[in-house]
Amino acid sequence: MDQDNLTLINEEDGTRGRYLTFAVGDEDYGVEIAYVTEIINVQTITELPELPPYIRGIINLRGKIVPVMDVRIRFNKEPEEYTDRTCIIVVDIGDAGIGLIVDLVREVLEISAEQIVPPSESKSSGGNRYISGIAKTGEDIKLLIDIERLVSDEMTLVME
Amino acid sequence: MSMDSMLEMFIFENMQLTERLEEILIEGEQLGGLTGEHINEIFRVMHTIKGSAAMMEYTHISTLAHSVEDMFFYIREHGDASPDWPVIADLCLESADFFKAEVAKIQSGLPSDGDEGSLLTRIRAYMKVLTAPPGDDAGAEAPVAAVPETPETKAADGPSDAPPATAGNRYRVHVFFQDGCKMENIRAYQIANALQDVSGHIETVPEDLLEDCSDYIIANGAVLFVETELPIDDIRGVVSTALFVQSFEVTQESSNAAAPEGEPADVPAAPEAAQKPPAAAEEKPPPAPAAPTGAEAAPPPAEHKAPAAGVPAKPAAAPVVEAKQNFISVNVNKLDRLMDLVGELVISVSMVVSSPDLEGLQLDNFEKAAALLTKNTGELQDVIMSVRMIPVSSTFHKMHRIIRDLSRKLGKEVELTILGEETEVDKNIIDNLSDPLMHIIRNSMDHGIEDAREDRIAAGKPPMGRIVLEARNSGSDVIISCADDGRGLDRDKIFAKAQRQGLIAKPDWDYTDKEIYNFIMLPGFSTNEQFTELSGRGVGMDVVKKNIEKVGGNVLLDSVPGKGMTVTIRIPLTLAILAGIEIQVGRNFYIVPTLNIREAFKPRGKDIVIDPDGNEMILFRGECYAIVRLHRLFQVQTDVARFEDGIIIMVEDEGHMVGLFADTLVGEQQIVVKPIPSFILRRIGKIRGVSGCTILGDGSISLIIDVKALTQAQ
Repeated sequence: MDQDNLTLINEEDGTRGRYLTFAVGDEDYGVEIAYVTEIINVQTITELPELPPYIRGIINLRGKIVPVMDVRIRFNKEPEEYTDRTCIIVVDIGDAGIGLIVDLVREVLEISAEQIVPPSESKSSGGNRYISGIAKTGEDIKLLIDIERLVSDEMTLVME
Repeated sequence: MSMDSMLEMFIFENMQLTERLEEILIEGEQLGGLTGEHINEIFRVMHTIKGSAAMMEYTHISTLAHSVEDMFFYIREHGDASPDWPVIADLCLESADFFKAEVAKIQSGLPSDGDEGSLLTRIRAYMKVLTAPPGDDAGAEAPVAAVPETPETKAADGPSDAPPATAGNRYRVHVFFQDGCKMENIRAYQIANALQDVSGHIETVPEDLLEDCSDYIIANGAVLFVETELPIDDIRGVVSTALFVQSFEVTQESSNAAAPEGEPADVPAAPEAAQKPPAAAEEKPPPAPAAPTGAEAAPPPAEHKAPAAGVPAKPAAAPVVEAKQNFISVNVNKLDRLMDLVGELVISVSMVVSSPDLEGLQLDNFEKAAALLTKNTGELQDVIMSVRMIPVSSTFHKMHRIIRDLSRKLGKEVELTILGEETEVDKNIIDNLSDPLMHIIRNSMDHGIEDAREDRIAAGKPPMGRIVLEARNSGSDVIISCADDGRGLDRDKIFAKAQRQGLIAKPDWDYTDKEIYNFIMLPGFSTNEQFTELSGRGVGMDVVKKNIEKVGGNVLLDSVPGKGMTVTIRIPLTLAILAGIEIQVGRNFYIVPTLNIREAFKPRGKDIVIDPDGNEMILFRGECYAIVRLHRLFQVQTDVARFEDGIIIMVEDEGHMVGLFADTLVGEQQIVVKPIPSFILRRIGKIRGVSGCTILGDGSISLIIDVKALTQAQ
């Protein structure tokens, strides 16, 4: 599966290879820019009962109701109070829009295929299996998120 | 126009036409025969069905429509033929069923492969009976000579049988189509077909439009020669409404200056004169059948009646403008979108008007403008809502057909009375209404109305059964009731059966009659075969209930033994807007549908009952009901934990009641219901106690409490 993803990334076409990078905790992550529809500040979140803790609830995005996921909690990090720098990255996967709450949005980066190495196979637990690759940009390391998997794998995770 | 939207249009149009056809036939049956106007309309309906089906290459439909059309053509042209209306009505209704079945197939993506053969044979056989020269009463002017020609007359590409000499004017219509519209020859054929409706004779260049001659038409345009009495503007009118026409030119080739009255002089013999009327009769407004001769002819509408027998109907020189339908058909999705947008608009308006930034400011002009804006958006919302509302009449009138068919099948005479058919309901709801009504009517016909007239007479009822279908408004609901005057329900039998099925939890006398009657709407209640007299009494009643509940309504049964039974359906006017009371729990807001609320009050300590298991209950009007602590249900932090500090809202659904415990009431709200994002529903299924959500005036989201789920859980 990871191999497949890599080959996909290798076929460079337009937006592929451009990533929006953001910080959650000490790590920096990247998500393919093609999925991102907008970035907004944290706004009032309406809680819903019976949801896993990392789904914080729903927000009103100009009349559209969009669920929001706290990536921090998703990746098993300690929850933190939201600040001015906390952002919601709204991504669009198929028909479903979802907001990702992240600590801080950094920048859009061009990452070429040579800079990306596959993640180690050993640690398949936790958030690791949602990482499609690890990119080295200068001194920094960015973990590239397989967003479709992160969102669609939801079901199994709730079941576990 | 893509193939899809063409297909959609075809299906839509055909369904409407078929429905109209049924209406006409049933109307005619009630009058004991079809009037000239009816005949004309059926003829046109068939003609249109034939044309559109042929264009879409549904040959089964077009062949059948063609033969029915022929039959009506003959009837129309030969007013003296004495058609056997019941036979014709049967043939037509069966044809209508055939069209419906085929369209249903097409709609679900299946090939239209119905076998029209047997119907066709029967129609042809009847045509033979019809066209057989009438016996002794054949009038002198009966144009027997014309008979063999009739089947061919309407074939658009067929040779003309109307003598060109009788035509008034000859026009040359030169049409060019838009670039890249495809199938130019078919477009031209459609125009030719449309012109055929207003004129008797058409010649075209290229000659056979059904051959692939698109290239020629693209290069040179299509030329149609039309002979008609109609003024040139009418021809222009027809051509200009055709699809994909880029430009066209209508010129008069030759004029037969003869005034209409003069025409018969040009005509050598009566048979030919009798052929004249088709051209006139085929223009849109339905004039009288052409040859009004004998008394046995269906009476033509008086205003169109030809002056004297034997003289061809006066060709209408001045076009009679058809009462245009002031309707357009719009894709429902567009309306939904519009409705959503207006919902957003209403919310945005209240966000602006009650913006916290304005607090404490004295803004007279702003206030005025804001009030106006609020008023206008409110009106806009009302109008949009009303756009989606359609009267129940078409659904109700479909029931005539059911009654008619069942009357014959069961040998019971039943009369249907429709009241309040103009009552309007949201389109979505109408779509879900037809099936349940059909079930209810069937039930009444089959089991309600007595089998024998004698039984009815003995019971002191009129021999003819009566079913009353009524719609009326009641607040934000519509109430539809269907009452029969049959035997009514047998309380004891239903009770006994419920007991056998283990549904009875209380002693007999604790149940009201209504409660017992409503047992038959439980799933599977009537499937028990042992109950001969009752068997089937509840067939589908659980389905009725389910369908109605799907659109947010409910069904109630009532019955007076020996006098009949009434099924009452209560449905909301619209699904999209809901009146609700906003309540607060912790820092969250929820909406409780006003419809479900019975009472809200601050409880006193002595009204609270706690049983040994710790279940909390409230005494309300002398009865004990469970309390649902919303903060617990929704896992919300709140300081209000003592009942005395909060508020109890008694909510009811289908007779089940619970008390909801919330912090405070906030106020009443009109809300636009929005579904919970599918992303969330996919993950956890249904959220317990929540049926949807809505965006409030300040932009915040509020969850709508699912009273049904909560009351049933208790």
